[in-house]
Amino acid sequence: VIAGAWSSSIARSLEGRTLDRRDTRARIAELAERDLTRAYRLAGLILGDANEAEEAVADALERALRHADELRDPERFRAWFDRILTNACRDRLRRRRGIRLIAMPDDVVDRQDPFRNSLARDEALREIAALEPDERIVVVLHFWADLTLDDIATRLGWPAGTVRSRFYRGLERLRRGRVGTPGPRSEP
Amino acid sequence: MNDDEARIKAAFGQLDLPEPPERLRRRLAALAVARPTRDRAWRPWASAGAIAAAAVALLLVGLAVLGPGGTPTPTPTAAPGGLTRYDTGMFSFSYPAAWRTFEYHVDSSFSHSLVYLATVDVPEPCETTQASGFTRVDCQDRWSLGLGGVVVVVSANGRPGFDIANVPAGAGTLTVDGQPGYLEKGTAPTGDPTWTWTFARPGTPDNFFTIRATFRGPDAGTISAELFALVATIQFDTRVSPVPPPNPSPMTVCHPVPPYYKGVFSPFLTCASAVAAALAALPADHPAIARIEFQFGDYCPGGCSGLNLLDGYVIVTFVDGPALLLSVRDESPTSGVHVTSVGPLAPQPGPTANADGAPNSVDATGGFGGGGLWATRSGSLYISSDGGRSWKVAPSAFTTPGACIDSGIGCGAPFVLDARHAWIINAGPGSTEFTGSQTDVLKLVLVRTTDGGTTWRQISIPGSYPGTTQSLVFVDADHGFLLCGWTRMSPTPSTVLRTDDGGLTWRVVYVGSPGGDTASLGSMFAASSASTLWAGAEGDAGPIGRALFDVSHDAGTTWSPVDLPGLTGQLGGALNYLMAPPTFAPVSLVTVVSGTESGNVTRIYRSADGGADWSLASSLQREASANLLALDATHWLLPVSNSEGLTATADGGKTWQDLATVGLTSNWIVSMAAASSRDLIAVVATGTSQPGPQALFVSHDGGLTWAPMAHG
Repeated sequence: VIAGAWSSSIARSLEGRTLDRRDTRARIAELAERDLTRAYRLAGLILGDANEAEEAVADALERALRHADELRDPERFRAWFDRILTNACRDRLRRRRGIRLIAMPDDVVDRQDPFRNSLARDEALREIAALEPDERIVVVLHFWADLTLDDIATRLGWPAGTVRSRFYRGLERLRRGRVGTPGPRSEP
Repeated sequence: MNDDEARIKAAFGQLDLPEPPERLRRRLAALAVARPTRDRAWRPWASAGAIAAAAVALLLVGLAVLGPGGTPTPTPTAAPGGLTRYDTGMFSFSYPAAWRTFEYHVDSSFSHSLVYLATVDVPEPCETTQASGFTRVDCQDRWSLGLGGVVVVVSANGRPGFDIANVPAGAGTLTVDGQPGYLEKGTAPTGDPTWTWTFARPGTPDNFFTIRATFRGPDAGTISAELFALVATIQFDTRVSPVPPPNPSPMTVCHPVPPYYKGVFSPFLTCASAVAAALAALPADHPAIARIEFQFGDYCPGGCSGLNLLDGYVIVTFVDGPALLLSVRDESPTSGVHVTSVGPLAPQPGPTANADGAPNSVDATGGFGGGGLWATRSGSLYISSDGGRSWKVAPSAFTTPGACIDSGIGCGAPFVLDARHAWIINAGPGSTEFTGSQTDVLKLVLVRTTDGGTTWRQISIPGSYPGTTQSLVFVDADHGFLLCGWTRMSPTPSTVLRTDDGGLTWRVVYVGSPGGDTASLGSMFAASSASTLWAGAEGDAGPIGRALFDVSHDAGTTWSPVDLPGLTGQLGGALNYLMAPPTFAPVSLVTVVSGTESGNVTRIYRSADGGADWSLASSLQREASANLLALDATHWLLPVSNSEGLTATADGGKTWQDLATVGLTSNWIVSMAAASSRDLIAVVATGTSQPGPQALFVSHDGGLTWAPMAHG
């Protein structure tokens, strides 16, 4: 008697699991293609470097396609991909930890890089390069990508409090312009 | 939004930002056409594929001898009109003789490739590499299409619930040798047309064939005509006896799976039937099934060998009631697929109690001596004294409603000493929102229980510690320490307070110099005795101008740097940080994550003398993502970053091997604790990439298999 109910219930449960991976990947690729400009700019603002942004986006695309079947709801592509992209950027930023970041005078700024160049032209944003990676991610997502701090927390899977503290720390450092002298740091 | 924020926002809005380079779009296209890559090997998969291919060959030989009509048809066979005939063993078709065939058998969850036909070179799609402890197989398309090129992939597919009558939107219907089918005309991300013919396999439910063609102009019209011609010549090979249709009662279907059906019969289909059979044995009044999760292929509890493609676990979640953990063992072809119940899992704590809808979301977890585990969730404290098998829930009395002001660093982190004694620090009345300003106020309230959470008492701690991160440790029921750690935005220096009466009264024993930085202490705080305290830099909010790791031998009054070989003289903060406070039982360990030019490095230091001297036990080129968990002197587990799950050592860090995390809904482990070498608890963030609530899992076999936390 219940066998039928169960089997249909199983069939229903399985339905969501039976997307062809090829179709899923194609769909992800299509969504990514559509969102590529935003993704590239987001990575560029977080990393402050066009080459690195391109690599980070490529890394993120590769990860996204590899985990294509995790995206159950295409509507959530951007939130899903933001997290992957941010992690890809973080990996790159962390690799840079050994490099000492200092605020540079105008005439030394590398005019070749469009992101660095663009950020350096603005007084308020010049200091962003020296923020801690996670602070920088939160600042860019909030101000440029127009996400609320709660949205950022949900999207990145960080505790809301952590996002808030990173945001306020980042903001404070931008405001004070004290980021050029972040205190002693170890050299690589 | 204040002026500064408005100014920054406006500045962002006015930025002139570049478009992504065309090269990036091309890279995306190249990535997208690659076939799915497997993250982890189905260890038996490579060898099974070869055996399955051999079995198909044997089958064909046998049929060729026994088949009707007398003359076995060699494949391929020349056909008139510049065409060649190809026989897949299930159907045959004609194709332009100029095309080449490539017989690669690529298995995935739902499909098995029969042949590739192409005008270009199609390299072997699967690459096998040996990694530590497992074989990794990556399969993807490795061909590239030139002008006028075409690649056709012919596959057999099986998918439970597949119905050829459900024609996707935009697809055109057709018949293939009398069988229903449809054609979907899509576009590859490269811009090349990708057409997929899908048609039913005669006499078998849920199974179907696909012919997917990707091609490039200039003469696309000719190619498409050739493709249509190919499909028109398809003839099903009636010599192959149809797969037995499922038993009319699907609950009892559990086919022994002969090896040559691998890939044709989806593992999911087979297992769904086997699982259904196992469910049929449950009492008739069982609640409705909410979800069935399959975890197959990359985990073989007894070691992978032969054809056990389907080894794995199934978790059946019911709408209201206990979840069921099923173990699936594939013993085919000898005796088929076996499904045994490992559960049922005990009821999960009140599914309706959480606003976020997660049945067992948690905030924090940890272990304590003598088999104890604890976890907090929605303001309740759960304590288990038997390694997570049963739980006692303390009512949500320990939070002061509305008073837990988010200091930005977190609040309400408990310290659980044993099954009776627990303390929690909360923000108290009079506290203000944290802004990083000198005028911020953070009053602290200690809430404690001495009877396992039945009653709670609130104690106000004198002073204000805005912007600090609070870490609480107790060495026994009376003697405890509280570190209010300076952070980069904190107007308050690091302060250590001490209690000798179980938290009723506190006195300050150490204050860093105002302005923090060089005199501050990191918030990775621990005590190894009533007089020896440890404080290390934390990755996020910790100090940056101070030694990475400090020790006090006089109960917190004076502090000096700890020498960690290889990191001597290194400062804490962004470049080096402690993953978690040091632990001193069952072995003294501290884990340091360092950013280096070549990526993140995790170093694990061990002390044989309770922390007097530390030596490097292990150095991994990976980033720890949560605390190292020592099950005994040499068996350690380490969650690693990017949702890579768990890596484990059995020899004190000399060698490491990644563990499958069977039963965990996510590989993203937030924290872990152990009550014994077998009983573990883990907080995971559900959803590996999509954001989800945190959930609590317990393991009773040292981390090999996991089940959602239960309490009863």
